[in-house]
Amino acid sequence: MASTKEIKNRIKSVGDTQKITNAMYLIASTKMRKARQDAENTRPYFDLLRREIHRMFASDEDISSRYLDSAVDEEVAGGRSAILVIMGDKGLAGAYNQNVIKETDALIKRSDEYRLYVVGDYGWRYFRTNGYNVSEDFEHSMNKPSLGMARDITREILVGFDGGEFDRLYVCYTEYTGGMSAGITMHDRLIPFDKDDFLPEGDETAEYASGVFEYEPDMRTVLEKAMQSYLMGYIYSALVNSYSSEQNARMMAMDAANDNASELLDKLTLEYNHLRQNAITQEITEVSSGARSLRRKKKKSVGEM
Amino acid sequence: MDKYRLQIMAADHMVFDGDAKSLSVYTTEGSIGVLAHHANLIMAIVPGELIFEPADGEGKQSVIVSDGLLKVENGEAIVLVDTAEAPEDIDEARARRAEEDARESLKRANNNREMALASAELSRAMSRIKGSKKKHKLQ
Repeated sequence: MASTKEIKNRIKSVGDTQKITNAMYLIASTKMRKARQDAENTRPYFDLLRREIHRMFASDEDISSRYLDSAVDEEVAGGRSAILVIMGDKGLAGAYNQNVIKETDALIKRSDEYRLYVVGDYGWRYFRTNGYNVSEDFEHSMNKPSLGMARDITREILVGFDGGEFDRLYVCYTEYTGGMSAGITMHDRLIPFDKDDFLPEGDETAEYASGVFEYEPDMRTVLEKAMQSYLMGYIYSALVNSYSSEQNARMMAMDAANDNASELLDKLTLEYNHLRQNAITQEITEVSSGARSLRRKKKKSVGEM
Repeated sequence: MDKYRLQIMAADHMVFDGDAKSLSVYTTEGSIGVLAHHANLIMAIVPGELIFEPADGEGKQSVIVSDGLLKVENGEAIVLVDTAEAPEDIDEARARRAEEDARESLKRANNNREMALASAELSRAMSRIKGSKKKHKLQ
């Protein structure tokens, strides 16, 4: 059985750990709220952008672009894929990172060739050490998602796509579902876009004042610019969703850790009190039995005299 | 001068929403001005300075914008840009560093991919520097 001193040390160290997990819980919740607010601010812009893109489709049915292909059949595997994998910088977030890795593996199996663009230090280390085909000069940590970061990512990936290095771009991320849920790990195809991707939410039969527009320099250039911006918006929202899910997963992991620590502390305190009580009882027994034997000795010696 | 409704929207904030007298912005075809009753059009905006004059008579305002879209429909104009910064918000020293970095990586670029990245970076840095210089002259 452990000594009281050992248990006391244990109680102290569990208490310290609990302080840390509690702080991490609070930090995660603040970070998440902030990121969600930032993302909310960009909503009107991307909604409007999507509307304009959809309008261009409406005014010209036959428009074509290298970013656009409504005929890609997702059921047919194959092709050269690039996968943008969005993960966290650190662990301690339950199964969050593992779920993304699993989803990525499934996606890789369906492609003939693949290349990974990994966001987040944890993922970067994992995929590199396990011999995946990772784009080496693509390094972004998941510190805090920002528009600037989304812009850099979009630009770097588009250079690869425009250079003909791959035919499809997927993003593998975790959709934030709110509450005490870890979010849903999922993948989406980004490029080529499907025309239906741009249907305005809510009103699918959006009617446009069918004014005639003059496009400068031409519709395709304008459309491609708009789609690049839209891609950036999509990537940004995937980043924010993943980030929120990660913080949420960490909050839940830390909450569970807090509970475990409290339970452990209760048990240890009980054990400590038991031991202490035992020690006291034993001491009293020793003292009283010592006193008794002394008394007996005394009596004996008196009788002998 | 007649006025028209103008909305300038950056990805993360609204720059201007109200009546304006004029707007001038750089597009792929060069600089373009928009006054009231302009014909319907959609154009691609390139990084540079955007100048507009609100109808409330407070004088012309300038913002440095990046890539985006200009739409005029039924006399109303909408500008959608990825970023928009007021010239006084641009840290000139930082913009200069970005320019130097971009020039450096342009020199070292050993394939098309790096070249394209660096030149995009450079054009953005140069338009920001230009914008912030102009502000200093005005003061």
